[in-house]
Amino acid sequence: MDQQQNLWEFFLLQGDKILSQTVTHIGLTFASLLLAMLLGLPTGMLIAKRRRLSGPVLSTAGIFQTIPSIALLGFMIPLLGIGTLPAIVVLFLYALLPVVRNTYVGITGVDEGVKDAAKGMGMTERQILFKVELPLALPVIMAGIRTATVINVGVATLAAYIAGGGLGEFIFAGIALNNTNMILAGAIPASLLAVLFDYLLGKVQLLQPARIRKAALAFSVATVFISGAYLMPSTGNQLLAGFEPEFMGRTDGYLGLKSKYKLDIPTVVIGDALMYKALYENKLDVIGGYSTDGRLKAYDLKILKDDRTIFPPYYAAPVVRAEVLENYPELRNALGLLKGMIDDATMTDLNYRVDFLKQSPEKVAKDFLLSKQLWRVPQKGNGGVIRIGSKIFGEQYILAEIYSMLIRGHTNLEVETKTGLGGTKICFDALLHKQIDLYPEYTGTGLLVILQPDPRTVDSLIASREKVFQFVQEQFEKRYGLIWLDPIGFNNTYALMMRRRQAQALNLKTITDLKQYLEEND
Amino acid sequence: MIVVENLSKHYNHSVAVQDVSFEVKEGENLVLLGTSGCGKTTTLRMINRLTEASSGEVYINGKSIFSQPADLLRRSIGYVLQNNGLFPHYTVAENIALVPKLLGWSRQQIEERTALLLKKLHLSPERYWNEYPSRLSGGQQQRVGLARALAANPPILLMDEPFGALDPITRASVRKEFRDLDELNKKTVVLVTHDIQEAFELGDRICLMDKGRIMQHGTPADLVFRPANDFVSSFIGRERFLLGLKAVSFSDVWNMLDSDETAGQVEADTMRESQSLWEAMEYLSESGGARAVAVYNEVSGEQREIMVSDILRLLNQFKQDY
Repeated sequence: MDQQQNLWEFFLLQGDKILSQTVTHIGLTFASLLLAMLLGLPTGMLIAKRRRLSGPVLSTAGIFQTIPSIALLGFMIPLLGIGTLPAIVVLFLYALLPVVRNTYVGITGVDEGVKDAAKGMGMTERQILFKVELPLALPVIMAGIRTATVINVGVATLAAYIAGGGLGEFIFAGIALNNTNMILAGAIPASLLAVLFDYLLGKVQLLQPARIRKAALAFSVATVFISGAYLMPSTGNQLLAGFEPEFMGRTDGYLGLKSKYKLDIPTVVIGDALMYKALYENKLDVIGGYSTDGRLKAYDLKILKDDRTIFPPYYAAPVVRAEVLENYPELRNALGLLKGMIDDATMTDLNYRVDFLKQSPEKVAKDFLLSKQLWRVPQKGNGGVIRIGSKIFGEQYILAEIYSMLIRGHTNLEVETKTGLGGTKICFDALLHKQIDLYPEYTGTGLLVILQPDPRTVDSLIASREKVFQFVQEQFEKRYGLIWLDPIGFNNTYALMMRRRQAQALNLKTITDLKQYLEEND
Repeated sequence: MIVVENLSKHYNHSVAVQDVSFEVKEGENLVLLGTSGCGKTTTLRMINRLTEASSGEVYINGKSIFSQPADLLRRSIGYVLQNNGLFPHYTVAENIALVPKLLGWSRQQIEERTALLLKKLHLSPERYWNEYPSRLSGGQQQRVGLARALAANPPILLMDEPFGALDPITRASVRKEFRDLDELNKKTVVLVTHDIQEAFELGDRICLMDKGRIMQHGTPADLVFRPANDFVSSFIGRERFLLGLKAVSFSDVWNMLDSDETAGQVEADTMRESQSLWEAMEYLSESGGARAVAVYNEVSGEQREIMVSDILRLLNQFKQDY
């Protein structure tokens, strides 16, 4: 009951945004559908007449269907950038196959006797196509358009990944923030749209021959108008920011930028995987990324200093079960060797090697330890087994490798690694349920995701790395019997970043600088 | 008038029609008869170029059919298909109006013609004008198909198994309607069928085909009484007696009849001299006790009384004289 009320309140509160995203969503769907009809209908007619072409054409259109939608969106970035255009193109490619195929099947499926009669009465090829074959194929063609529409309503949710807007913005933010209301605010309208269009187009399909012609015409005209209503967001000469859905919904993210910095910047929502590249390719000017991400180095990006401290510290440190430390006291020393050894730049460099130079985490870890003269030949490893976990991204793989090498080289313990354990929740649960013995965690994550203290406590801690560390250390030990060892040194926090060249040209060093620049150039 | 000269159709390695020649005079009904695969339909379709001939010539009124574009040629030839081929998305009236529209007739002209044809084919215009074909019975659909073929009043009509898809009872009644239709009397008709009864009832002349060749080309009487070869004899087979009755009309045997002193008024159920012996036989067996039927000769104005014994005598005599 409580949940439902909350959902209703959320809908009321976000009504305007839901409505505008729904309009965008419909616009995306129909603009791409229009293109698909413009190309797909003539193509379908052509291959129905030149059957030899049907194989190659249908398989080409089919190939687009087989490419996962996220990947297809990714392909579009270098070609078309981000925003509406690539989103429409991707949706168009998805809608193409049902339109072409059903046009082809519809026309070729017209009763041979009727075609024969039409020819026998002296109709020309053209007359037969437009007066006999197309009208008779119309129910099948409309079925294809119906399929394409429903597919597009679904795939259009992914447009939010590349700043195309639509109901996906709510869905992705909701998933990232584990906010059910937000997910539903995107999912319910999207499902309703799909059901509605499916129902309406289903009705059209069942109409009488004469009516279906009128309905199909009306539908085509409506499609043109609806697509026209979908205007591209334009930013003019202003800087454009791109934030991932999770960032959009977090207080240590977009909400904090608004409330603490009063930052007012045109913003699009974009998937984190594409964000850095879009920035690099001048499609975006500001993004909210991770401060040790390898792409910072690869794309020569510059972090704007968080001078009002809205981003809490995310210092990485190993979290170990207390009883493991008691059983193997030598473990503490081995893990402690890494204390303070990796700063932000070093971690960024290590990430860069794995993510961009495609070196194995193992090699990167060993090279690093060798350079710090911490690497030792593994010992016999018959003193017991330590199980190390990691989350599913490069940095965690590297840290897990470094720890296992340190343990093997500096103690007589054997190591088993369980890498790629998904997100925070999975790692933490695995540790809690004694399926692993340790994994690298970040202080900010421990604070905000696991402990989740009230906002006032967060505010009182957030400015100081020591306070946050102390708080999570105390609370983890008290509540879960888990020990935070000393931090490794680097701070993988959220950060606003720009292209270094642009930041220098505009002389922007801090977020406050950015805010002032935006105000001056408004 | 249609003249077909050495018409052949080859598909890759097989021969569908080989060296077929015949003539159809104006107003004559020619039936292409044969079993399935004998090439009769292919021959028919080569006349309106739905199938393009591999070699040979076809002249219509002395003009080669290849001298004009195929679609223009087809508009001047009526075409009736086995499964009617009506456009399911057109109403009855729109279906009939198809060719006149292609020919650019005025709206009024088209409507008058459509109404006239519907009436002639016993379909009430008020009831059926806006009806879609799917709501008609098979027989009604076939009649609309015929109306469509006749709409632009073409001098030539090609019919491909026009009654093939109908049940036997509907078939007989639609066939009778066709025979009685005045529009058809003046037309040069080429009709394809595998039904020998139908061929005998409708054909002035018959081309019996087998394996792409003509086995015999002649009147129904020729086929029954003077079969050209064993194939024709065996095709006629055990139906020889029945077909003989159908092949002979009263006009053929008029002078073999005794003159009748009671030539007087013409009754409603009086038969005409153009009707066959078979029809008289049918009449007598179904009339419930009538001993004789009157036959009236429209040419000479004479009338004769015919009895069952007369019919058998006439048949035998005709056969001997043939």
